[in-house]
Formats: sequence, C-alpha cells, structure tokens
Amino acid sequence: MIGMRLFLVLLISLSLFGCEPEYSEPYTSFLLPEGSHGQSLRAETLQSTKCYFKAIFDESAIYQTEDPVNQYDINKLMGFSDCNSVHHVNSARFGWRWLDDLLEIHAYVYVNGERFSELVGVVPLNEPSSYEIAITKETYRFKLNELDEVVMPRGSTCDQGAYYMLWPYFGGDETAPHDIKIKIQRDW
Amino acid sequence: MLTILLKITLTICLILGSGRSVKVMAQGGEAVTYVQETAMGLQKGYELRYVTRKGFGLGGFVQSSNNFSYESGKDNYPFVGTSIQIPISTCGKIQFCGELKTGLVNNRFLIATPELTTRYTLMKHVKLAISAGIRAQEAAVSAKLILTTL
Repeated sequence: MIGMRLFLVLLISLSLFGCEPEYSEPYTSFLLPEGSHGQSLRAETLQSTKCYFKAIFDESAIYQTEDPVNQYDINKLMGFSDCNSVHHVNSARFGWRWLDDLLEIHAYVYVNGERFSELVGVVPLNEPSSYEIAITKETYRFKLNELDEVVMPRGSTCDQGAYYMLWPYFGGDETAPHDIKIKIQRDW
Repeated sequence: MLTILLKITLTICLILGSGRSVKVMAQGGEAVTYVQETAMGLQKGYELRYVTRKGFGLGGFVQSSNNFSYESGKDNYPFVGTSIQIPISTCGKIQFCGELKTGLVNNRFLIATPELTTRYTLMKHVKLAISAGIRAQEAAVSAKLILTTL
C-alpha cells in the first residue's frame, strides 16, 4: 500500500517537473482551431500592476470572414479581468484584427460592462512585438513597441483581489476560418 | 521491598510518560527558510507553521525576490499569505506532503500555488525539504531548511 502511494507521489512529482517549458523555446504557442473561438484552459492570475508580453503572429493571422462586416470585429490577444470582476464587466486586453492588409492591434476594455476600443498600432508578421498594459488608479495604459501610449478608462474600484488572465480568442461573431497560431512569451 | 516497588512503578510511569510526551510533542511549531526558483526568478522566503499531531499544518509565509519591499516594482513580486500542509505519506525519515499557498503578490494580486514537498529528517529538530510546485503556469522548485519543535 505504501509502495503504491510512493509510486503515485513520485509520478505526480515527475509530472510537475514536466510542466516546465522547453528552455530553447521561450514562446508558448496558442492555437485558435478552425471553427472555434479558442481552446485555452490556462488558469492564471495577474501578479503585478503591469502585464508584459511579446507576441508573434504568422501568416495564419490573415483571414477573411464570411460576412464582410465581421472583418471589423476585434479578436482578443491577451489581457486580464480587473479586480474580482468577470471580464465582460471590467477587463483590459489587447485585441487584433486583419483589416486592409494590415494586422491592427487595439486596446480593448470593458468598463462596468461597457465596451471601449481604440487602435494602438499595426505589427508585422513573423516578428516579435512588445506589449504592455499598466494599471493605474483610474486608467489602463496600453503600450505597443515604441509607439505612443493609448490610455483607456478603468471602471473597477477595488484593488486587492483576483485578476484572472485572459488568453487568445477569435471573434467577434464568427469562429476562426482556419487554424490560427499565435506565439506568446510572458515577461516578468 | 517497598523501595523496589516504588522504583518499578516510577520506571513504568516514566516509560509511559515519555511515550505520552512524544505524542504531545508531535504537535508543535516549525520555522522554515527557503529559496524558490519561480517564473519571476529566485525568491527567498520564511514561514512559521503550526503542525498537528497528524501532520497537518497551517502557517504564514513571506517571500520575495530581493529585500522585502512593495516599492521595488517589476522585479520583486513579494508574496505574503497563508499555507496549508497536508501529509500524504511517510516512509522512515522521508515524508511526502502537499502544500497550498494562498496570498497576495505585491499586496494586491490574489494567487494560489500548489506544491508537493519531500521532507527528510536530518536530525531531531532539523529537516531538509525540496518541493515542486506551479506558479504562473510554470514550475516553481524550492529547497527548504526546517527547524521544528516536534
């Protein structure tokens, strides 16, 4: 009985070590499968007033929606829900869309249930770009590479609590027209 | 004769008493100092814990990358909170236990990190431990020195 328990404990220990990403590949690949909005089940919370990361889009980020109007929909890249709020109430994320042969990056926030977005800039394919969302008392400050900051309003009034992370999501109304790959590297 | 009986009685009492004291001593305190390699870099930490006679523990801890401060910004990530220890298995001087740490990072962000710890009793009041856990979706590995009253 003890032998079996020891074996299970060792197995669990090894599986924990197995969670460490490969040293040679600091980026984590996210797949938005064809016909789906996304499949990420990562449970993680923010641990700082700044969310830093790098991301690389490849040619799979080029897409055409079935309804041309939906081409203007903003897909989500990464961000977080604000203090103890669900993300459709208070949250801040970078969004993206393929429009006019450019990959646009947007600031995308919910403030007390109301949605706001604003263009931050465009990024090239197959090259890493740096993203940063900083929380201040009443605003979110979005920064992309060396471009000017975009300041968006913040609605949450609490400070201490859970800020759960939000991961890549396609849509909008439509699902991904083909497999889309995005590589993301968190920075601490 | 009476002296011999008294001596035998006292000896029996001492043996039984010492047996009881071991059981009573099985609950007590632990002071832990540790280093942990996390996604945010190497962190140093301290923990005080109360352990029941069955090995369950409840404690408080602090850990941070540099000197403990909320003002150090991006690189420090001080983590303060409470921990629960649950015994899994004991094999001689080796004990396996699970631990769940919950608390605030940067005095603001609520997180929870699970760990699996292997403890080795080096001498009566000193234990060494290594643990593997998950923090920010990445492995967090730590080495611990435990001073115990048990």
